[in-house]
Amino acid sequence: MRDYFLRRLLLIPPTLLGVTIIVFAITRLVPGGPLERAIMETQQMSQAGGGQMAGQGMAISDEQLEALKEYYGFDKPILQSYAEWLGKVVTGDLGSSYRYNEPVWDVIKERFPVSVYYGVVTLILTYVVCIPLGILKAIRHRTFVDNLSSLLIFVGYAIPGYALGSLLILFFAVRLEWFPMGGFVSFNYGELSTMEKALDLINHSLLPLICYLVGSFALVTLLLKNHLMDNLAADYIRTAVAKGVSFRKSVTRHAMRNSLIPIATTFGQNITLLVGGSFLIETIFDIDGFGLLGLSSILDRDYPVVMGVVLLASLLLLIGNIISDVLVALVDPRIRFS
Amino acid sequence: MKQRPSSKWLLMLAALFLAGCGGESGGGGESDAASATIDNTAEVEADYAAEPDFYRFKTLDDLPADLVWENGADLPEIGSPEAKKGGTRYIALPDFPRTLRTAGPDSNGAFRPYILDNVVTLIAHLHPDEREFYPALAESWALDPETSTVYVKLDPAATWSDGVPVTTDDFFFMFWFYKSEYIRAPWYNNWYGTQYTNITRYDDRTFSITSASAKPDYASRVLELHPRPRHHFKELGEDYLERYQWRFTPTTGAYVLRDGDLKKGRSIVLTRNKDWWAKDKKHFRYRYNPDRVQFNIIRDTPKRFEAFKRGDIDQFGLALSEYWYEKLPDSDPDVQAGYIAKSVFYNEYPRPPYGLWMNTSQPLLDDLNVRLGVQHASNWQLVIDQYFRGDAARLKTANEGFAEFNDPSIEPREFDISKAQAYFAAAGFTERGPDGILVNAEGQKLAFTLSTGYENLADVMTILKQEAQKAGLELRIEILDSTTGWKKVQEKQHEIHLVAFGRFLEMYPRYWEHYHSDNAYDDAFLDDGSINPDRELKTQTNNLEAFADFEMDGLIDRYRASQDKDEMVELSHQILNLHHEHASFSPGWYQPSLRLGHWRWIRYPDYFNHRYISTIDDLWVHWIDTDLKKEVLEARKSGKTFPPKIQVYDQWKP
Repeated sequence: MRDYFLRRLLLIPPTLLGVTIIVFAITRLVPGGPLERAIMETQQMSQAGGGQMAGQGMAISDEQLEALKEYYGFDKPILQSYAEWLGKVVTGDLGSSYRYNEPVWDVIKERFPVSVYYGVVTLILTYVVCIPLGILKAIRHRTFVDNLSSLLIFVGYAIPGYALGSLLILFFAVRLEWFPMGGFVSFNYGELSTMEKALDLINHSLLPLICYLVGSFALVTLLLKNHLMDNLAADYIRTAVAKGVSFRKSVTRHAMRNSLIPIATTFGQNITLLVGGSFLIETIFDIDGFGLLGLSSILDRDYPVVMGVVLLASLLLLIGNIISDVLVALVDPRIRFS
Repeated sequence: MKQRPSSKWLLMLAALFLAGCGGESGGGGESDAASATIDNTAEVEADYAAEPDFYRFKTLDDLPADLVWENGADLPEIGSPEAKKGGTRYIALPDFPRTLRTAGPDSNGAFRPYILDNVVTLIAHLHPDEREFYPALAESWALDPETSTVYVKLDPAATWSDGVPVTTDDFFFMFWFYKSEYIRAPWYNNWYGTQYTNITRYDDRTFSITSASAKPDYASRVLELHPRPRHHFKELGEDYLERYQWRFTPTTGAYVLRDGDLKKGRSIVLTRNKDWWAKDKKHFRYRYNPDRVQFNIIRDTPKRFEAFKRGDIDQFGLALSEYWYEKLPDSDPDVQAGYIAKSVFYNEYPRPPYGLWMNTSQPLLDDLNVRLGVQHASNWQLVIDQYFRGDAARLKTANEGFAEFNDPSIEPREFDISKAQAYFAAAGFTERGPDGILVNAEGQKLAFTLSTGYENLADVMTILKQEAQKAGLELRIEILDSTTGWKKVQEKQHEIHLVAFGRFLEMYPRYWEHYHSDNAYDDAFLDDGSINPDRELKTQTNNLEAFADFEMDGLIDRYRASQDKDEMVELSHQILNLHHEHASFSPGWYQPSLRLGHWRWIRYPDYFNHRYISTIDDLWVHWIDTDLKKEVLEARKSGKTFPPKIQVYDQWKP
C-alpha cells in the first residue's frame, strides 16, 4: 500500500514535465504572440483616438525588435527558454505575467476565493440534494416522483450551462430585472453591512449557481440510485431485514455505506475546485474567477499565466486522483493496492 | 462484524475541507512588486548634461524680443453654459484595464482615453470646429517658422492633480521619459528622438521646443504635447513596468483615481477633481461635468447593450446598423416613450482606410491586370447597401479626410464584371473551370486567400467572396484573431488582406510607412532606378502592399522634406494618383457619422455637432441631469412618457 502510493507520488513530476513541455511548445508554435500584440497596439490601432500616435510614420529598427523579443523572452531557443522557466518554477517562481506585469502566482491567487466559493457551494449543494434524492428515487423506483425527477435531471444535464446562463440573464436580469446581470458582488459591496453583503452575494450567485448545478445533478444522483438499488436487491439486505432490522436501518446502515463507495471514488477530484470554474459560465456572468483567467490568458497570449494555470491544474488533478485512491482504499475493505 | 472506524469518513470530510482552503482573500490592493527605493535625479540630470544641444538652459533675457505671442482665447466656447456639474456616469468596458501606465506595453487600451487622451490638458488644443488652437496649459505661445520653434508661456495656475505646479521641468522630463528605454516603447523613443531637436528653458514657466523640420504643421507637433510629472517619476528605472503598473499618474485633467477606487478585475471609479486648475477657464468650464465616472466590466457586446437597455450604463454607440435599425429601432418602446434618445451626427475626420490590401510580392498579384480585375470584382457598393444599410460611404483612396491633401478627382473603381473579366483575360485568364473559376493556359486557378483579423467583419468578407465569384475570381476566406491577422501581414505572408489603420486628426497623411520601398524591400532599387535582383522582402513594416516604385520613392522623399504646404498638397495629389494607378489597394468604405443611443438624463449641448471629433467622448461636453434621471426612472415604473427624442445633425454630411 505504502509502496503503491510512493510510486504514484514519484510519477507526478515526470507527468507534469510532459504536460508543461507540450503546452510550452504550443505557446511557441501558435502564430500571433504578445510581441505582435504590442506592435499592433502601437502601430495600427488607435482605440483611443486622438493623442500623439507615435507608432505611425515610424518604423521600428531590428535592434528595437530584438529588445522587445528579449523582453517577452522570445529571443532564446525553445528548449533553453523552457529550461529557464522550469528552473524558476522549481524555486517557486512562476514568472511574471505579460498582461498584468505582476508575478503569475499573485494573479492566480487573486482568483482563488471566487472559484473556491462557487466550487464549494456547488459541491455542498450537489451532495446535499443528490444523496437524499438518489435514496428517494431508489426506494420509489418507477413511481411518479422517480420519473418526474429523472426527466428534470436529464433535461438539466442536456442543457449546456452557458446556454442556460444566457437565457437566465435575458429573462431574469434583463426582462424582469430581478437579478444583476453579472459580476461576483455589487460595486458598493464594501459599503454594505454584513447582512446586506450576504444577501448581495446570494443575489449575484443564484443564476450562475443554477448553471453550475444543472449538469452535476444527474451524475451523482443516478450513480447513487443505481448502486443503492443493486445493494437493496443483494442477499445481505434481505438477510438483515429477515433478522428483524427495520427497512429504514438496513438502507441507511448497510446499503447506503456500500452505495457511497463509487461516489467516494470521484471525491478526490474535488480538489480541482481550487482551479475549477467553467470559463464559459464565468465569461457569461463576468465573474472574474479562474476559468475566465485561463480563457483570457490564452486569448491575450499571456503565456506565463497560461503555463501557471496549466501547471497548477495538472498538479491538483494528479493529487486529486491519488486522494481518490486513498479514499477508495479506506472505504472499501476489498481493495488492497499492492 | 468488525466496525471500521468512522475516521475514514472524517478523512473524506477533511478532503472536502482541503478543497475549501487555500483561498485567502485576494484584495484589489496595489502590488508592491517594486519596493526598493530609487532616485533617478542624478541620472536624469547627467542625461540632460550629456545632450547639451537638445536640453538647453537659458534665462529670460535670452528670449527673442520680436516674438508675436498669441493665445487663441477668442475662439468660440466649447460646451453649454446650461451644463450642470454632478451625478455619476456609468460606463462598461469590454475588459479590465491592463495597466494604469499610459506608456509602455499594454497601455493603449480602451481605458486610456479616460485617464489621458480625452481628458488631459495639452499645451494647447485644436478647436473642434475651427481647427485653430485654443489655450490649455499655455497662457500664450509664439511661433518662429524660420527655426520651426514654438515658444510657450505656461499658465501660472496650471497644476497637477496632486497640487504640484506644472513647470518647464515637466516638459524637459517628458523628453527624457519618452526617449528612455525603460518604458519599453520603441515607437515613442523614435518619435521623440527624431521629430524634435531641442527644448530650451528660459524660466520655470517659459520654454521653447524646436521641431526637426519646419513642416507646415510643426506648431501642432509641439502644442499638442503633454508633459510628464517629474516629481511622480523620481523612481523611474529598469523596473518601470512593474513599479508603475497600478500607480495613477497625477494628471492635468479633470478626473482623478482616488485610493481604493480601483477593484482589480471588477470596477474603477474616477472622481472629478473639485480643485481642478482649469475648472473656471474658458473652453473648459462647461466640460467634464459628471462628479463620478463608474466603470464596470462587461466583456460581451450584446450583454453591454442589454445593460444599457436596463439603464445600468448611460449610453451605447450604435455605429453598427444591426443596433441602429434592429436592436434599438425608432419604434422601440423605450425610444417611443422618450426614455432613450437616439442621436446621429456627421463628422470630418481622417478615415480609417478599410479596404483590400494586395500583397504585390505574391505571384499573380504582381500583375497589374490581375489587380485591376480584383478591383472591379470587389462589390463594395453591395457591402455598403447590405451590411451598412446604405449608411456608410465609399472610400475613394486610402487617405481620406485630409482636406486639400485629398484629390477629389480620383474615383474608386466600380464593381463591373465585364471589366474585371477583360483585365483577367489580359492577364491570361480566359477559360472558366468546371467550378466557374477562371484558369489560365497552365491550368492555374485565379484564386487568392482573402484574410482579415476582424472577426466581426465575416459578413463583409462573405459578400466580397460571393460577388467576386461572378467574375470568375475565387477568394478563400480566412478569418483570424486580431494578433494572428496582424502577424500575417507584418510578415507579408498575406495575399489580400482586409484591414484598416488608426487615423487621427493631423494636417496631412503619412505616406512613407505605406508606400515607400524602404518599407517593402531591403535595397529595392539600384542607383539607376532599376530593380535590384537581389532584393529581399522586408517584414515588420506597414507597407502591406509591398509597394515599391522608384518614382513614388522620389515623390515621398520630396513630400517628407517639403516645408511648403502648397507643394505638399501638390505632391500628395501625385502620390495618391500614382497609388490609384498601381491598383494594389481596393478602397472599401468609411462611416461618415457617429451614432449614439443615450438615456434622456444624459444631456448634450443644443449645438452638439462638432466638426472635427472622432468619438462622442472626445470633448466631454455632456452632463447628467440628476433630477431628470429620477423622473425618468419613476416614469418607467409608472408608465408616464416623454416626447421621443431622435436627433439628426447633418450639417457636416458629405
